[in-house]
Amino acid sequence: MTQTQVASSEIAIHATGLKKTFKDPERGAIEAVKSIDMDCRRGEIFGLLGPNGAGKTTTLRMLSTILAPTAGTARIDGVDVTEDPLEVRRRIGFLSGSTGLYPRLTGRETLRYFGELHGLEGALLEAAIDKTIADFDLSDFVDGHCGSLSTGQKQRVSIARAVVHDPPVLILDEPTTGLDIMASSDMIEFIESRRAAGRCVLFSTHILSEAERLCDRIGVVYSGRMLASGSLDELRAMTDAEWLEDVFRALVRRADADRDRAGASA
Amino acid sequence: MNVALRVLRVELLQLVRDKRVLFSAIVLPALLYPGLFWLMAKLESRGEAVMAERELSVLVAFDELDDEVRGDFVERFETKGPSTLLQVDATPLAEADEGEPRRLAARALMGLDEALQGSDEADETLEPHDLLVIAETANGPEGQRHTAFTLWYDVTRDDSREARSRAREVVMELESDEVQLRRERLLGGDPARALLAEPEDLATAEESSGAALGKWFPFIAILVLISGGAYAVLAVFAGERESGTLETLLLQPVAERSIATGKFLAVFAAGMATLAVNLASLLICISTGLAGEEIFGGAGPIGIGRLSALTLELPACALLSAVLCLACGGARTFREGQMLVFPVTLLVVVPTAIVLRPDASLTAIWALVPFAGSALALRDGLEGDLVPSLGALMVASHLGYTWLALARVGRILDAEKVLGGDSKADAHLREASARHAVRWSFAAVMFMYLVAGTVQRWNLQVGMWFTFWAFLPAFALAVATLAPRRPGERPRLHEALGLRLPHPAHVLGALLLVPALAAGARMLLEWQMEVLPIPGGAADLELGGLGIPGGVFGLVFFLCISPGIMEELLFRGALLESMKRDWRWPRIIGWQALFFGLIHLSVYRLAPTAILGALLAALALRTRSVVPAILVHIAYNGLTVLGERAAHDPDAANEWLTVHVLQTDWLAHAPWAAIPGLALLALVRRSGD
Repeated sequence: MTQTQVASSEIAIHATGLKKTFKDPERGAIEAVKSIDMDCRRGEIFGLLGPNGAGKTTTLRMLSTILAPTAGTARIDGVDVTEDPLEVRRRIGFLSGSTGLYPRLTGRETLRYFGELHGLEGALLEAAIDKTIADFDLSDFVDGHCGSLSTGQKQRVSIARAVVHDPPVLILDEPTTGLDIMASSDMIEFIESRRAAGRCVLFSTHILSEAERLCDRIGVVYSGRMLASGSLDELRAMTDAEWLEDVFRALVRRADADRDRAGASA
Repeated sequence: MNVALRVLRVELLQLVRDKRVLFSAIVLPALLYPGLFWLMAKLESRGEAVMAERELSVLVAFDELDDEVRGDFVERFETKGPSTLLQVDATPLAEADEGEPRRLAARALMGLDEALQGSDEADETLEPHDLLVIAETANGPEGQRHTAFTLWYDVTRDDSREARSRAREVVMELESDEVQLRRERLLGGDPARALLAEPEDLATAEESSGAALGKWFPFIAILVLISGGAYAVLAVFAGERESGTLETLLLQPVAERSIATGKFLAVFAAGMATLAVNLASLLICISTGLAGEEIFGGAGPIGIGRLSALTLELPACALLSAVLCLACGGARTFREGQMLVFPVTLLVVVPTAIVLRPDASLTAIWALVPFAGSALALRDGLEGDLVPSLGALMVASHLGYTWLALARVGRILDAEKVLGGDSKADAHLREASARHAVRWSFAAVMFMYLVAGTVQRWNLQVGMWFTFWAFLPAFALAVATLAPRRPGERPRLHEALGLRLPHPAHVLGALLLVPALAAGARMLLEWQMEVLPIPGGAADLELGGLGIPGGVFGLVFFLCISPGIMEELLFRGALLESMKRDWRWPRIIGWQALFFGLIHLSVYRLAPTAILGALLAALALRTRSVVPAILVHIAYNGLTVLGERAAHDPDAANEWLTVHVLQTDWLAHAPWAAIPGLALLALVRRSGD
């Protein structure tokens, strides 16, 4: 199924020509993201796959309105990230591997705080908190200070905090980084549950097995560019490779060769 | 505002659960005064009791004294505590020349002679005596006998100081009795009663106590607020970054300014809580008698009505909280934030010092000066003579500054700035380089205050040599050689000191600015003399550099060449090069101005030197070399120092330099040379610009 065949109402994330340049006092302008085009659909898990420094985190930060794009456009659930960033933030849940929790707040206070910041109040807020606690099985430790929780418990509170307002789009930046096997497994289970609930999940990773198992579609990012995107089968067809690792290597080699050719002709 | 209040509630919840905050903001201020007063009282009473029990050995030379007075002295002295009085022959002392020989003779008599102490001849069984009292009598013009007691003691020994105190008490008692006796015998009463002067204070006890409190309370309030607010500001900003929650918070659908306002309110509340606990603790100490009301320095209670003037401190508290947020809010770690608290303290305390000047009062201009206006308004309020319109102006201006500062705090929390885009390794290195520069700047200021300044006060010439040719170059080399580098980066000392060959046009342009800089400095000083006059005694040193040895050559060497080279190598060389790796020019210029102003050890030179520091930093950034800044600094100091010398020293007014350079007509027009100078600096580009 090509992009043109997808109804626009089915597109949860749409980005075109996304670019980000940073100014460095010593090194001048640095192009962290040169050009990213992508579409993610509702009820789909889309993985951004790439090595460290490829531009994955910067792309996710632009989509979640933390960083303003230097060029290009992006719409989340139909809302432009530069025109109405606050409305975009209401429609996303964001979580990264380095996300922390307030050590002196309890899990329940954390959920209440972020629920309130998303505009939930009164009975609606309490209902959302109770539902989240039940969904993520937090009741045994939700009233303890986050600083005293185990890594796995912290991870579950973090996930619950990100979805307490039940966002239609979830953006996860290397969500399993630093987690042990059990916590990683919980995270993968959570991602699959969001797809089952009809939400769009966009996540970045450099772990090939994770992408292979979870993603409906994969975008390969390298040196600030989207080299290719599609289902695993589509990517295999593009590269004549069987394993995702070989697919990735083939795409990167092709990009390097293109760049060398461009450099030589210049 | 709802969002700000929600942020405030959560921040306060976390602060209250933080034992370190509770200790520094509540427990410590609550226990400070009771502990301090109790300890002081205990130490005082214990010290007095111990000293009163000491057995003292006193030598007396009372040959010229009447038996009656001698007996009186001995009897009274023995009532003061256990002691042994021994008669001694003071002839060696009387025969010694005045000054050092007589001091040595007295030491020898008391057994304190350095030559004997520790030598083979010293008798170790003999303890040195604690006091030598020599009584000398003489006849007055009308036949009365006058007696003078000389008390030789050693201030470095406790027993000797105690012996001196007992002897002075005895002599004062004897004097009082003798005066009374003579009045009765000669005049039949006290003649002073006929001309008695009884001062009557028009101020009420409330006013007197309010005036006394107003002199020191603004200082205490500011310092207490900083002690309470500093940790809070680090916890709500740097703590948020360290715990990894800031990115999450900035992703919420609320404005950064609302988050900043909530955090500011938390800092304000923490500071006010500390101040309230501090005040309550002080009042409890007074009401329970642990401390007397006289600690205010006034004549009695201040009164609730007058104490309501304390509310005038609220705008200053709000502004201080906002400044703390502004200064420390960008810190990524507690350590980095702590480093910034000291400059904030100085920035706030210096203008507050205006309350110490009795001739300064709240005017419309002072009302607009941050912290100085609030301090003066509070003092006037406690004294009871605050002009309401000026008080209102102060409140409005300080709240306005707070609002402006808060707008900047909102920008600090801008996600684009917080998260940047740099890699972790680069971010760490950039942090390290900036921290390095600020840490060494702070160390240089403190070293100047504590060591170099002390050496200068002890001996000006030695102090100058030490400051310019040991301290400053050593710090410059340390900053340059210890600067953090990227992996594989080769150390280049001349680059780290900013020693690059400048463009000749830039050198010429920079030198053309000097007359305008000197003229500007003179105008600034003239204006400053109106608002902050230099006390007469300090004026010569502050302005003319009088007291520098070596005449005009000494002045040129110590005040022009030495600082021109060494101060520039440290500030516009090593420190600026280190700052440049991380910061853009506005921030570099701001920090250069602050530290360059502070290192000059003078509140009167703070503004001129800070401005000069900022201009020289801009020059070094533009020319990418420290050399033009060195030349401008030397020439600027030369013009200002020699000009002031010519103005203050009549002899200098006739010197060739003064007549043919400083007093010539062309020099009056020289500031216009700044126009082509600026044009050269702006238009001529170096390769690579």
